[in-house]
Amino acid sequence: MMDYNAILLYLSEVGEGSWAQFKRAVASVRGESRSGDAANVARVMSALGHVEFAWQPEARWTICPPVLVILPRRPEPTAILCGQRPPVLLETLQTVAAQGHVFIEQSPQLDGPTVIQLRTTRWEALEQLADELHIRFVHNAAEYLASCLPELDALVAISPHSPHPVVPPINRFEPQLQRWKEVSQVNGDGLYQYENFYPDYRLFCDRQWRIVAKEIGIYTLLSPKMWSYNSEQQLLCIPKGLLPPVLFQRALVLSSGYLATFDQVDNTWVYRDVPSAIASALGRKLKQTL
Amino acid sequence: MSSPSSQDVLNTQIDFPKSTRISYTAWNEAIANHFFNPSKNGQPVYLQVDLDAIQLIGQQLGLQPEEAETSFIQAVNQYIFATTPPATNIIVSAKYMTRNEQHPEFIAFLAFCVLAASRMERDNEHGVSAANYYIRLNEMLRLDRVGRPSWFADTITAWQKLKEWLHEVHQGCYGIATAQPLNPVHPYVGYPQSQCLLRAADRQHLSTFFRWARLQPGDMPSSEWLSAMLREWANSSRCPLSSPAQRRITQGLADVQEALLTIIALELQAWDGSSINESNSVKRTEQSVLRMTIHSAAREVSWYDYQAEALLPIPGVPPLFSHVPTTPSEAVIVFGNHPDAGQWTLIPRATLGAEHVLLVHESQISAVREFLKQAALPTWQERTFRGIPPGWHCFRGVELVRVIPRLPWDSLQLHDNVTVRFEGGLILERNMYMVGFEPNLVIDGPGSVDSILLDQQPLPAHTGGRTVISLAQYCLQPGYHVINVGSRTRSFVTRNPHRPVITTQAVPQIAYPLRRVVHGYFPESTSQTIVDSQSIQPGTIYVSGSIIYGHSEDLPELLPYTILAPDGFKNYIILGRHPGEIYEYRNTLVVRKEQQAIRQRSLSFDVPFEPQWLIKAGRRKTYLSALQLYVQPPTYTPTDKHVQLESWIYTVVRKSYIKRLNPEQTAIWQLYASAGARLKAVR
Repeated sequence: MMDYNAILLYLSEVGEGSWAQFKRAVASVRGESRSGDAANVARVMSALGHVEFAWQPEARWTICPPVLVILPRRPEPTAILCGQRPPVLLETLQTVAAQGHVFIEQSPQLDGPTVIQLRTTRWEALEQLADELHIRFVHNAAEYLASCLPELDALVAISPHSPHPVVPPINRFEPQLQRWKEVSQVNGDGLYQYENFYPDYRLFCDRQWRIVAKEIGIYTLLSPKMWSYNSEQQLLCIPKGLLPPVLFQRALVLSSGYLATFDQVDNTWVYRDVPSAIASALGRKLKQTL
Repeated sequence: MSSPSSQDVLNTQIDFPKSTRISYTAWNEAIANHFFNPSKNGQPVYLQVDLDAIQLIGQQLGLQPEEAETSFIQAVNQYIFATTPPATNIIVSAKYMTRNEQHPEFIAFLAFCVLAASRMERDNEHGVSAANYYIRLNEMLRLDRVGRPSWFADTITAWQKLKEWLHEVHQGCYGIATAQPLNPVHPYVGYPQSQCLLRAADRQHLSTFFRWARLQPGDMPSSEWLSAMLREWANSSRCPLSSPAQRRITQGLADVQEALLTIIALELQAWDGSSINESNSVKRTEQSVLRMTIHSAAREVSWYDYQAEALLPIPGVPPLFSHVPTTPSEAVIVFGNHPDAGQWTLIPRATLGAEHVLLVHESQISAVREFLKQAALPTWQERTFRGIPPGWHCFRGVELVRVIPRLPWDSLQLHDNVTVRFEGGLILERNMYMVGFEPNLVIDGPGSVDSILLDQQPLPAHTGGRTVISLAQYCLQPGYHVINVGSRTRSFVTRNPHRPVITTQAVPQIAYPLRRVVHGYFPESTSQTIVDSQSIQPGTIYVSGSIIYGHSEDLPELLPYTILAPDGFKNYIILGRHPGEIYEYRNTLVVRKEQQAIRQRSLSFDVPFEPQWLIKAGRRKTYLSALQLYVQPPTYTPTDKHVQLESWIYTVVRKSYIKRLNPEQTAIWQLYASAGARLKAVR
């Protein structure tokens, strides 16, 4: 089983590095987990706001500074710890939280590191806690993120053109089936995956090739009825294989502190505690009607 | 402590040449910083003090090159002979070294001992005998005597403590100790000599040897094989080593050769594939590696350059195959598992027990087939693919399991019947692992290895096939560890994570830049990117982690909050925590009749800030209620986005509300009232 806490501890210690270094680290703690390929772990770590990855001009990662993030629209003051988790911070957190009457709840996740959630009855207690830990305290992170993320058309427009690839693709996305199919040649317009050490996806559309993020390519081809939102329970359900671009995922994760959980019955990813304002803002930008 | 012999006659009337006086402590500090510093993290480290090194360090202390050596010798002498017996202070500092010492006091003294050894280098007449060492040492000590000063035996303690300081106190962060006794009869001489067996320039050339021997980073060849290859290389005309180094390799005494092999094994385990270029500067040359992808279904191969952690497609046939091979070695190309680029990447030499793909030129095809029948598992197959260069044949599923000596193809010549390597582990630095996440020791091959030791403790033996030993199971303490697998030795360092909390930077290192446009934001790149700007540019925001960096006027608006309130009141006011955050609604459709029914209905308000309080004004009474169970206190800082400050102040200082609040909410409201009163007074 993939040890996400170990990988977060390691990244917190090393601070920054190359993609190859990240891949080696993931391979070391992967165990027999199927979900533990480096690209998936990078997605998880990025969606949780722990680590940032860049693919251009070179593939690198950096740990984010630790931040106490207030969860949006909660009845009681609640925050999660995002970013770097050095042991010294966690030890201090235990002590300082006990003194400030802040309750720490550590919830293991199946496909991600433990969520560290802090609850109290006084808002200023969380602010004081952040001060004493010498870390940032951020309000409404999910909402601001949902507010500023660009629209799908803009994301496609900024994606660079590429020449016709000289090597064959390995997979093609089938929008009707919402899954990838192994191929060895280009077969008309569509989203293709190419072999590389970082995610390499190319969108072929109107005789033009573009290098796109996988999720942007997928959402460009999707119908607008893929998302469903339960406003009473604040649950956002997204079909398997259709998780949104990673910063959109981050806005959803920062609503609750938790990654999406997989519903085996409906074959969907479920984000919980997503305020309707956030769900509709993100859906609108990705051309999904709720 | 040994007492001074009568022969230890100090010439107390030493007439040192005039030189700038630098204290022993200053030299000790400068030498320690020069040789043992964080850049040596996990690397073998040598206290290689010679004239050049002393002049370089002297410059840092403000000395001219010509006066540095004299100043150093003078400082050490004065320190040694400041006590009776001599050097008591140094030996005491070694014996009672405390773990929190920044730099042990004896480092400059050990450097002095190595300087004496380095002076033997130039001495062709006396050679490297122990007697010659003491001639040099006594000259530097200004002792009118021959042979070893009696107190000198205790210097071994200082060498051992240096190792302890490096491995246990600093957990290899300042380097891995390389000093060794060399000769059990003369260990006092052996330790300093071991530090200058190979000069820094010679050590730099070891990467050339590693490449010549077709070694890869992480290889652990047997000492017998390494020794044979080293001798062959040192005897070759193109060997770039200095003459003394070549002589030691080819003609040195057994102890010296053994010490050299230990040093070379340490250098190999620290080697990351770098090599030196023509200007003698160390440079990574592993920037481009040929890689092949086999598309089985399409019976086709595609070619790539693995460069900067990406695959760059190569159209057509790679340049490597553009000419006909002139030697058998050039006619066999091996593809295997590269530490970073994975399969199938060009590798210098096949590995026992690992799967490979071979491309063989037609000139060698019959011979290679015969070889594979003898030396490989019968899993190999000849296959034809589009994209294979004309005249070349492809062999898949090649797994060598037997060593056949004296092959004409260097890339198929195996080291031994056993291969040993580390696999995995969370690597903090080269050769340094995080405690609890040590690597696996993987032993492959038909040969057996009975003696496998971890820090002198036995591990399960290898009896052929593949043995994987998880070192993490052995709950290693932080520090220096040694693995012995037969004649192979490998050391590594483990340490606990100790990085402090990273503070939020003014500009994030990696972020997603967005440019502010009229109705929102436009991406400046497809995804997160490395930020090379020194400051945040106006009009651009950067998303990094859970923080948005940008000038306040560029930051995004909050998504609107929808508030539901009962209908039927004249006025509605919603307040936020920032002074100025106020939303007001005047209800023009209020009717007096059927109030109760009307108040069953709800009005909906979208407010652009995080709402805290709701004030409903009826015909006679005005009600104050909280919109959150745990209302947030005011910030005292007016918002620059919602500039209805006067209204906000007026609303919070007003006292005629009927409060529907619990005690905690009442206390928080008092804070709002105080904030309003203070702002009112200021204005």
